[in-house]
Amino acid sequence: MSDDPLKALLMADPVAAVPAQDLSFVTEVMKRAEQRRLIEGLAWVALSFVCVTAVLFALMPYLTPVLTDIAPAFQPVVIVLTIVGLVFVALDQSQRYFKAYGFGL
Amino acid sequence: MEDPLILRAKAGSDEAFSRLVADNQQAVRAFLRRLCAVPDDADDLAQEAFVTAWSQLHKLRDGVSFRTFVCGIAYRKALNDRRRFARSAGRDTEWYGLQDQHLMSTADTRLTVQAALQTLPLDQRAALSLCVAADYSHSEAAVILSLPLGTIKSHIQKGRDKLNALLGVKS
Repeated sequence: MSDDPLKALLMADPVAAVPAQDLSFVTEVMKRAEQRRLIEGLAWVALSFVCVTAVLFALMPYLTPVLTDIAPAFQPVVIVLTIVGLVFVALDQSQRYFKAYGFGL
Repeated sequence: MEDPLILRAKAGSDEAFSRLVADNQQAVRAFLRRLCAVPDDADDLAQEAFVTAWSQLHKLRDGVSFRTFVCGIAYRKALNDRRRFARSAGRDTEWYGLQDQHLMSTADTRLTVQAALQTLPLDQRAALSLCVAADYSHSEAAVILSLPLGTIKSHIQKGRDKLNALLGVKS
């Protein structure tokens, strides 16, 4: 046992006494972490949307004639590639959540 | 070699991170409760510190414990928010001063300890909380508080002298 009276006083201070197990505290921390993750995710989505929109807005005068000139046969290919690309991005973003539930991709 | 729990938390495992929080919350909250006059402010700050640690886990260096890492973040947040803490300390000291002193029993010694702690500058209070109340080494405290080792020792000595005088403790 320490013979430091100041140490004994500080350690005996009940204000600083914290339970060794506190599930409510841990839950609150994880809740806040999840909220921050959600806000950061939404911020990235919003930023990506703005950037893609700005780029498309800048390129549309050049893209529109090209798109209208593409033979109708190519249009389904473009649509399929777009859908595949979006699915790939969605799966990539969801990979972490799938792993958390035990589904490996 | 890095703790496997930390490695898993860095890889994105929420379960590993929640285990780290559960294992270290007592030490971090006790440290902060000695810095802040109001336990609720301390617990709120502790939660913010853990969340910030979660987002900055990649900055945790080998050889530094998770507890040390979180306490460092918490101390920096306390420094940034010291105006709020000063208001809380002033409120409690004022309340304490209004109490009828002769009616206060030894059971209220805790208020005296807290009030005495609040008279110290934040860095001295932090150094004492870590090295005297919580058994951190001086070098660990230097890492947490981002201060030179000599400064830590000086803070502890000055803080001890002042607290001993305020609390009537024989050194």
